[in-house]
Amino acid sequence: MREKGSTSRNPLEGLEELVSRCVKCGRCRSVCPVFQAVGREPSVARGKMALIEAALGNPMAFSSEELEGALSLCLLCGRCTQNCPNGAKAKEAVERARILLARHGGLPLFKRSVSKVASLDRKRRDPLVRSLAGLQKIILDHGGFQRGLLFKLTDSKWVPKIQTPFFLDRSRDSVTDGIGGRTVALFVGCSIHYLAPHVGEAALRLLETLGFRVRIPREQGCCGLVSKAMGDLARARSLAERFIETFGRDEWEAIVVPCASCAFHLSRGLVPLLEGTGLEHSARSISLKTVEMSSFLAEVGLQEILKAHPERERLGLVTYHDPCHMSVGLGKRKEPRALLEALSRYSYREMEGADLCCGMGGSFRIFHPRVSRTISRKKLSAIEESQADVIATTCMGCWLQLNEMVQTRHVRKSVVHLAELLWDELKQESE
Amino acid sequence: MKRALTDGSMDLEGKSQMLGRLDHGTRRKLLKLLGKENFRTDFATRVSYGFDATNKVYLPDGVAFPGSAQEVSSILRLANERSFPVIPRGAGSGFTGGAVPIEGGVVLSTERMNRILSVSREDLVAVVQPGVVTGEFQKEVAKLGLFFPPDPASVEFCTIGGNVAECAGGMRALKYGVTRDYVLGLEVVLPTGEIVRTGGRTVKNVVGYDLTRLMVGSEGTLGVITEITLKLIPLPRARSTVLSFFPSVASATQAVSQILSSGILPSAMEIVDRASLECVAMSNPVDYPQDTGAMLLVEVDGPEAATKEEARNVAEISREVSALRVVVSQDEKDSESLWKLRRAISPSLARLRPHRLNEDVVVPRSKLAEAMETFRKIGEEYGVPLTTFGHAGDGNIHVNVLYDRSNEDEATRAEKAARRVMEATVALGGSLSGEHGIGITKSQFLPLEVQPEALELMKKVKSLLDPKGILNPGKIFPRDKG
Repeated sequence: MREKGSTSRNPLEGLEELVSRCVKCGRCRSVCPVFQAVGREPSVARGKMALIEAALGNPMAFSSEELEGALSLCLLCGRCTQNCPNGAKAKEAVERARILLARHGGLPLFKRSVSKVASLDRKRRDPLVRSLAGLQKIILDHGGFQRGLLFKLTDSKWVPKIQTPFFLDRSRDSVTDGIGGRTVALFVGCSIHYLAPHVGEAALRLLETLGFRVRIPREQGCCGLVSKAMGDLARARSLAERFIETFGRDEWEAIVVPCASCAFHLSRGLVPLLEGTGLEHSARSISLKTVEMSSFLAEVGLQEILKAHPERERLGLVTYHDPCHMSVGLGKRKEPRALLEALSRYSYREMEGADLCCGMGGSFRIFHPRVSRTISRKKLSAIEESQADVIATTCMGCWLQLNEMVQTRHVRKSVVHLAELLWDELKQESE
Repeated sequence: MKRALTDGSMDLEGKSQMLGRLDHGTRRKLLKLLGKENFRTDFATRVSYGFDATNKVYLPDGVAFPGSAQEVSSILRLANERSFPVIPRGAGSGFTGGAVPIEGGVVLSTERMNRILSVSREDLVAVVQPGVVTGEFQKEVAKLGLFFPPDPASVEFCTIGGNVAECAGGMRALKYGVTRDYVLGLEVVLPTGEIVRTGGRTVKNVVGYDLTRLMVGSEGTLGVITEITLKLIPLPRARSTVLSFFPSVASATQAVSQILSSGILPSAMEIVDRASLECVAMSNPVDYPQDTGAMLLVEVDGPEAATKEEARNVAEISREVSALRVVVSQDEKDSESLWKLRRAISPSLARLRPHRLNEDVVVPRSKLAEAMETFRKIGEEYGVPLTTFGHAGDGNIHVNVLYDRSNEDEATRAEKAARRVMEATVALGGSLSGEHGIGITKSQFLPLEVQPEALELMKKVKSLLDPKGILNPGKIFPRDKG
């Protein structure tokens, strides 16, 4: 049987031990963004641990919707696990329980559709998104009523505009060789491909200017985090396999990922998904090569290059928003700040509450819009109270959410991906 | 097949049937009173409001989230009329099962009543609702240069209402006292539904019986606290922490008495035995000398210059008393990380064994070393892991007897060891609980310390206020046999 000997093949194995590690002390209440928004015990890690424990003891006690509903109320940000004095891994327990739920009860239709679309390959997904783009253009350009309806439905004044042509259609691989033959691959993920090709463009140019030959495999797709988060193990696994197939070549020294969430999943999430399969070994080696972009840029010393630039008139203050997958997940806080502090056209100013969650949580925003909104409110006041003119971040989920927040609430500050600022400055200097 | 939902030793179904499950009419009344958002009977909510930090789960029949004293009053009146238990609950971070619905009924969560109503710098008084998180309250008043000293290890998430009901202590009790010393007045809903105000907003007040003190530490058995008037003091300007490692518990306690007799009154003095230290080191970065027998954490606070000098003196005394290593914190961040470590000890004990009997006995300070040594020997004698750490300054020691429930023999030995710890404590002139309360986990030991006449008086007070026994039943008092 394929199921034997692998935690990912059998999520139930060890789950009881995982939940029994929690002693219900309550510390997670002080760090969980969802609990602080909802204020009810089922939404916090120890509550979920108790629910999973109860469900393991008496599966008939729950309707599967009830359990599904409770367990879906988690951002998977990992703060509970990071702060647990007892080392209980609530995040992992929730992920595994979601797999079990999806397997036994089946995913609700909406979730299943999201996961399914995410996992389609480009040949099938791009035309779908392209037709959506057409529809969106009609609504945004002409339809006053439809536009109002769209905003009302989404409870926001801003929706990300689908940008055609898509990034992977408009970008090209480097034509020149890298210095000393150095080559990297670029993985962009869904948001950059469809919604923010300029971020991908900036990442590409940055790497080229630093002397790398950049290859952009055209068959790349979704990283699989969304499917994994929903417990859709089969799709998460097939996306992991596709990533290895597309990127598992030796011609590049690193796979650079501009989005911290994709980077987190691709560098930390593949091995557990493929453990015990024939691809485990490849998963291990490819995970080691996969690196979040700002960490890579800081490692090759972009900040030194920027610092060598002459002083310029400052355009304003910039601050940084810590994405959960970056700060909690990858443990990276210094690298993006080091780069921002080296800019000559912006002054860096730390924002109080830089590490507050934006409330996006990938698909969490879609399934729990009200809770997401409540979580984002704290972040919004942090942003409003900061003196910064520009908020830079390193995750496309946060980028979307923060943009939506400032636009909807008419905050006169701009939200950018770190790569945009870096390229802006490097471009000026290299001209 | 798997572990059953109810951890408790008693038959849940039988007990709760005695008082009757919530019938349809009662449920409808509660729904009408609170709305469906604030009265929940779904399984997920019931499970997650069925435990506290004792990690014992009992399923309530419903969970109520009242928003005012009036709503609390209506719930209690209904409970009297229909005879169902009501169990007040703050953050569910207690260690003795005070908030656990052992007889079913309705858990009454104060989480929605979470506003700081007023803070007066002139009167040095704050008025708060019970659901305010203590740590957040401390931060708010600190912004105004004010200080609320009680700091149980759970300060970042426990609520002030729970602190008052349990009379929480913490690490600063030696210098600053416990929660009781900061409660000036209360608004309490009595078990029969009357809303009563006790005390006032002045430090001095001797009008009539001290009902405030009766309520403080009553463990949610005499009333539901709905508003609290708290005394504040000016915030000390600086603090400094000294961490030292000693070869034995005896040398650490010797340092404690020398520090105190040198005229320094530290804001905290925490002693941690070797076993606890090893435990916390499994999941937290701590580096300690190999021969460490005990760790001592001393905090002094006050004006900056005085604090620095006192910290130096504490370090010097510790070295004189054979400390293996002494570290003086350089700044606030340093201090905080040391204290975080101290607060992580208790939960980290689960690394040794999944279950524990968590006792917080108190002994006269002069008996501290003797007590810790006695407890260690008891652990050895019964062959169970036993760790001690606690507030050396006030003699309050946390004794944890660890065991695995699935090992029946070990569980029995642990229980015997815990009883011996209690007996030894009383023999040393100590007390069974310094700050956790009695709840369900210690009620069997109550007669060891409280004489029969006093126990009878306590029961009379309870039945006077709660004739039907609907508020937090089964707590504090030992169950009558038979």
